[in-house]
Amino acid sequence: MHPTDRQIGDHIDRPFAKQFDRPIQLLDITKRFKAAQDGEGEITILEDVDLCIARGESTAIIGKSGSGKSTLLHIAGGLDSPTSGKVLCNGVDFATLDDKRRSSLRNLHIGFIFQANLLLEDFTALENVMAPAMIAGRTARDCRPRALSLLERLGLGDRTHHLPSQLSGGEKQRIAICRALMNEPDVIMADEPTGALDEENAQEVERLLLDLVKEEGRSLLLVTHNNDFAYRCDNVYLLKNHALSLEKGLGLDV
Amino acid sequence: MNGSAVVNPFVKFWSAKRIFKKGRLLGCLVLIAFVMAPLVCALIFSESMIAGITNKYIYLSDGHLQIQGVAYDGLVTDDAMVLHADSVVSGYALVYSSSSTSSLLVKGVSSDYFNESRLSQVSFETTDLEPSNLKGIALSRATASKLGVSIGDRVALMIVPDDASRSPRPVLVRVEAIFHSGYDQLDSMLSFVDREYARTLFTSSSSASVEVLVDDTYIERLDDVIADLVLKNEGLSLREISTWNEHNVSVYNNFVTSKQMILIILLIVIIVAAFYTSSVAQQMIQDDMKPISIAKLIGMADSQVRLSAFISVSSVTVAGIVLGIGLGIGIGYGLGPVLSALSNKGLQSLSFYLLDFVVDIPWKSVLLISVCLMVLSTASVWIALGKTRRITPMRLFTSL
Repeated sequence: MHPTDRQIGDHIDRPFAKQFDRPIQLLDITKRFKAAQDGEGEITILEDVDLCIARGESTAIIGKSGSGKSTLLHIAGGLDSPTSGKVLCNGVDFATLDDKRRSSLRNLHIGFIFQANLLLEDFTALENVMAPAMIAGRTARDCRPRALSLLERLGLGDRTHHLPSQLSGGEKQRIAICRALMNEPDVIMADEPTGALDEENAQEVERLLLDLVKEEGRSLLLVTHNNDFAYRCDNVYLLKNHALSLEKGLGLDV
Repeated sequence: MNGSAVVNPFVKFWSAKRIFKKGRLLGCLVLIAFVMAPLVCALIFSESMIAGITNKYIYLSDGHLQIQGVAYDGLVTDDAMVLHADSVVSGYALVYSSSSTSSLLVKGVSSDYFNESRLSQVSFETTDLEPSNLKGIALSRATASKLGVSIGDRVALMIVPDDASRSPRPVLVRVEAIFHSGYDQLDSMLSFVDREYARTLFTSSSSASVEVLVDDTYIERLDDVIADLVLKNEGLSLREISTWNEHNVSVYNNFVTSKQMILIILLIVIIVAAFYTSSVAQQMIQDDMKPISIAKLIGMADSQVRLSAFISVSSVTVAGIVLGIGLGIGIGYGLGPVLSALSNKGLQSLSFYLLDFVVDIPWKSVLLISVCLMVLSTASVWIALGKTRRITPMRLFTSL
């Protein structure tokens, strides 16, 4: 473990620090939306979905647009609530936590990367990368070395003090990857991380993401409609008709 | 969480960043400063003017305490409590000049009546005059102007006798001095003559009184001074002693009402300013919907988001208050000499105001309105920031 990461553990109240072999488990997840705002009908997106993310493995979810891939990722990351079922993050059910503990769980154990990079526009590249660690309670001085090291590893050493508006799409996405890795989370959740990039940048980001996740020993939950990218992961699931089917790898029983 | 870090580092960092990046917050700072400055200025002027007018009444008209119908001789006082006890003989008279008439309180005072304390409240103009058999009178500049007389001129005093059996009698006196206290309202009612001469004009025992000036440390404890006087002077009863405000009930009540009205107006302005601050906070949240959603996405709790926005707005409010107080005090001191100059011009429209007063900062009142503004804006901002609870990371995806 990187020394600064040990500091994170020492520095903050890490309520869910126990290492689980399956950092994310989705049990019997069903998600339904109301058909219209005032309508009585419901649309089923996910039905009795089970999924386990194993530690250190990469898992991709593929499927057609509108099949519910992003919804599944949002639920897995504790951003959205399932209509029924449980989401366990390191064995802790998101539904049992208040806002503060749910936020803390997300901050320490999950890193997000989205198609739109979702960086803080008023913050420099370095500040964006440091943000999750500072939210976790570390001072800027403490978390600066790791943030700089991540930026350096992703070829952004000369962009640390640039604002997102001064960076290209590929550079922004690389900053988002650094930010996702900053707190050494158990799982990186990426939703179409290369969807908005040109082919050259997309391939570069794919390579960096997969390499870094492997190097850092993190799990990856990738949602994409890019089959080439997906099949570079250890496990591939197809989301179709509200359910998952294993397309590649061994998968894990819940 | 690090025990030494009371506020999360990111909360502090984001709060500071907002203050320096958001023009809206800097606008809020300027507005609060511009609200506070006139409020402080108004407070300084109203309280200083009221204190100034009160002093004019106390030092020139009534004293802190007045003992009715008692001759000065033999009044025993505690030197620590009482600075001066002056025997005065006074009564009302009509003053006639060749062109006008005025009704005045004629105060007969001894030569040591105008001690250092009183001379700090009034200035006298005199010139060397030819000896005369006529008794002298000191008129105020306002009265002299009204009567069209100056030093050396003669005026007639028509004394209304205390005894109904005696008919009113005019006496001629010579204007030997003209005084000016800066408060024409009081000046135009007063005149001074020699006390022994006044005894011949006002013979009733009720015309005599003793004006007592109390040491500063006992001004708020006049009851103690009264009790001491009663204790030390046999035969002196409580009902013979009145305080200046009992003696000038209407003036005192006007002051109290004025202070209350000013306070009400200030509170209304403060409520408006606090409401504005909360609307700035609301607008800031509206502007920051996306950053807040992102911050929550990467693990910021709602309480931290709220605290961060609260620190930004509150810091700006405090800075605005401090800046406003500084500006208000600066303007207060700067305008003092201007008003003093206006006072010396003797403008008729300003005759009801005391313009020549010592600017004294009413720290208690300034602190009170600052705390009120701080508490009200803090509460309204905190309530307004409750909106952040409704901002979730999912907003990022539903609005994309």
